[in-house]
Amino acid sequence: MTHADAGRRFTAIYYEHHAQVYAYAVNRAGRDFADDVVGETFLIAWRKLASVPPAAPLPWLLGVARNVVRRRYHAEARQTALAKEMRAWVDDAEHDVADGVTEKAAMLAALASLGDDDRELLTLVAWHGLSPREAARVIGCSTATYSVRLHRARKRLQQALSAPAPAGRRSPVTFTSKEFSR
Amino acid sequence: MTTHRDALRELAEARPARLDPDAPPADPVAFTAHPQATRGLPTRRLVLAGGALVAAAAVAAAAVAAAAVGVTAVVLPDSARPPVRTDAAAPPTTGDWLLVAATASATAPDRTGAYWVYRSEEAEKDRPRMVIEQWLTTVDRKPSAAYLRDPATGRWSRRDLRGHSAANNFLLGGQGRSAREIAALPAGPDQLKAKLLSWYAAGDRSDFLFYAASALVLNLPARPEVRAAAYRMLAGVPGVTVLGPVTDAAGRSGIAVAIEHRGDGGARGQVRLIIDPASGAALAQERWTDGVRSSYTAVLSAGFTDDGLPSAGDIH
Repeated sequence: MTHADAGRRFTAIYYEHHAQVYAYAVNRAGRDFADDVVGETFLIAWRKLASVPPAAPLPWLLGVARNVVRRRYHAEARQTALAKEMRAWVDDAEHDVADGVTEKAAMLAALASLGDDDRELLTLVAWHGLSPREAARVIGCSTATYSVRLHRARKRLQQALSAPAPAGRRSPVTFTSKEFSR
Repeated sequence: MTTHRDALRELAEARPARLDPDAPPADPVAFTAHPQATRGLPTRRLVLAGGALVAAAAVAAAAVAAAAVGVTAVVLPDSARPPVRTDAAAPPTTGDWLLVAATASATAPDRTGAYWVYRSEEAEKDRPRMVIEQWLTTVDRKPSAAYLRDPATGRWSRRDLRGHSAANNFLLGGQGRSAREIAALPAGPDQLKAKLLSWYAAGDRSDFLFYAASALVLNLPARPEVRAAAYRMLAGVPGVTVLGPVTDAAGRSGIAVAIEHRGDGGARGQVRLIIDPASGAALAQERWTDGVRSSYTAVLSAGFTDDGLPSAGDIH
């Protein structure tokens, strides 16, 4: 492949999947870190363009983004940023004037109360539009394992939804606006 | 009672708008300007201060192995292969690299806060590595402090920075500047250069501008547009050259630009500014003497916070 071909191929992948990688990054590390995660992910994609599967780049890209998030941020910094992010989701939903916002806020609060792994399993399918097979590739497990885990995560989401709202419905995690990376 | 199936659908409907980017994606040239990992693609041949050519691993290996603290290798193309012509794989000139960095850095979010918190790793030859986190206030009458990590125990200690204030916390052009002065720097490369030169007193003009631009992109709370202007200005400074892909002392890959001078006794001195063209972030400044790194400062993190000064035990 000539450099010009590589550039065209990369550019096509970039424009097609940028928004999806961004959404995944916000979902895993919060908006404050999302641009960094997206930047590093696409830089790796460019450098390793030959390993990007032509038929389905998205699971590959999200798998890279997943590793970038894990490698780049302290677990604590990420959880802090995420707690802030999810609080913003619930706040936005509560201040939305459209119909059905109560359900939306309740759903997002329930999601926020789940563990990190459960949230990832659920949102890969619900928000990022991946098939179970593709989601399994992002996480690096078999499709069967993924389906079992997704089933359990759904159950827990269900329980969180029907549980009485926790006091204040605020995440107990405190956060600072400090950036941990650049 | 909702079923599990419904829960997933409801979840899909509750997708937050914050997952969508506010701005259109940056120009992909910020990525395609980088060298690729694929062997056989043209790779830029590098110039080293000492003139030595070192066979080294592929650039990409270093790129992916981020955060491997302690890696000191300078990454170079394999010298066993015949030299390849500089081609479209890498921008050929210093100016091109700096413009790529400028474009990328201009898109960084513009933030402010009561403290500029800046963590760096610093070392001199034969001295242990130090990690320092400085909390420099941007607000009048607030104290500033530095936190140092003991290399042996990993414990942090706090030193109050007496005499530091929002009026003088930010060293630029040979003097401590105020947070307001830094915030008010012009975002045009020519205007920025004129402003910096108004502080220029003596010595080599190129050196002065190189250090000032480096400070703006590395460790000062300059606005993203001002950082971009600093890169653009640097592209026009005589004597500044691009060395190409390198790995900094903290193990991160970037592009080095450098300025050289003859020191006392004919030693060949070089100061490198290492930047990540993808994000526009400056990663490190390194001093090299006769091809050996003599000291460096690697930026580990920098950003604003509105928190008050923490106690040493709260730094991690």
